[in-house]
Amino acid sequence: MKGKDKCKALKEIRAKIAEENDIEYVVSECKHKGDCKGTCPKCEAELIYLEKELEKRRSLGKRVCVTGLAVGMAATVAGCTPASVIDPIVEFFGGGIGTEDLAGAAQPPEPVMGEVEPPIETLDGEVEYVPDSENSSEEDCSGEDCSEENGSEENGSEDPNGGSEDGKGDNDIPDLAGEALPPEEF
Amino acid sequence: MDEAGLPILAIQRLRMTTDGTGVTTLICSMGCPLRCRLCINPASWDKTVPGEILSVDELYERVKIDNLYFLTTNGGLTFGGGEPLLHSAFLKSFMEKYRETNWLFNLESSLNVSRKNLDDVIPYIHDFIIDTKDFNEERYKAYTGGEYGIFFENLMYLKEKVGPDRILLRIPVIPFLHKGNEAEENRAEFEKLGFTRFDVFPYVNPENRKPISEKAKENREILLKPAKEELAKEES
Ligand code: SF4
Repeated sequence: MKGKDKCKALKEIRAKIAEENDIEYVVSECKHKGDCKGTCPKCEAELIYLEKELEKRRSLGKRVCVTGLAVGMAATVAGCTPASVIDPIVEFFGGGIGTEDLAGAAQPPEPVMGEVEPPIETLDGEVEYVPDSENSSEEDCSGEDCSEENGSEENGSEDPNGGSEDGKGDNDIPDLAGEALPPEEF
Repeated sequence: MDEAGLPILAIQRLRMTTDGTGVTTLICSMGCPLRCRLCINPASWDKTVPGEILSVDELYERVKIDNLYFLTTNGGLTFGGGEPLLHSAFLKSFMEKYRETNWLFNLESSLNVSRKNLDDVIPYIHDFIIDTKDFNEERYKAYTGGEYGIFFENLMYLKEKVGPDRILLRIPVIPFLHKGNEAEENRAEFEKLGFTRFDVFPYVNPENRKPISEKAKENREILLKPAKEELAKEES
């Protein structure tokens, strides 16, 4: 799977999280030419923004809807190596799997399970996601996998802190959303 | 006893259905008891990179950015390597402390470790991805240099403990080792033992994918040299 496809899938996941939780969020258009790792400082800033917005909702006692929201979204876009059609001996000295795209441009091979990929281009920069305005809608989402702020034993809690009345965890897990790096620190 | 830190070869984020369901982060640790001739991550044992040591909390700090992706896609962390079970005490501490994240933890292992190391992680792992290498003892030894009995007994023990649904057996088609249908025969043998999930896939030359060390090349030649000689003989 190319980085650009990965990026598209992750953007869709972020948009879904925002939509289901009534968070103001506009998917930004990527202007970068060429392939990438599937994320960049701008995408990361958007992700952190969503974490913060969800944390705000939790602390206000609103519902958040995260767990299992995008199951299948990663699977539908992921490429799969057609193992059965590759002759391993022919492939062995021949440059690996999928090293050229249709236009003949060199492509990194698809990662295989457990394999450490060679490094791809890293996009550097400082970006902060700023929504048009603060969203203060109190509507609850209606997704099946929603759970209350406090989470129930039955549904589990999507809050990495385990969820408790004061918004802090009942266990030792450091606060995730609260500790997110400000985008300028990327 | 807890292991103080995990020596890391690489942490790779945003892998999609490559090492488990959903979006996963692969955590490759250093060290391996095997020397597979076509090892895909030889830097985990060839001493070309020192590895970075991370504590339980430092590792969490590195991976937590993808919390929302993990939760929304039923993804999480996949521990690979090298052989991650060499660091089972660390993995146990990590998963115990962070199990409340609700991320799924997967393990990719060849199971060539002591039983205790396996026992350490069983309660925490969602999916066990097992690199079987070969069902045949002789070929297993020739390909990995390791003891077949340790792998096989751990595999059967794991099946008893967690059941076949949580075990994915990776069955490689190994160039210059497998002839004819031997990989498929491997699969059939595992099936007879009650395993149900398989991934039959071809190994490729790791050098076609990234630079590998001289040491890794030497290790690879143990498999390739006789095969190449045989090919040359056939051609002449
Ligand atoms: S089990 Fe084999 S392939 Fe995996 S890291 Fe060890 S030597 Fe390499």
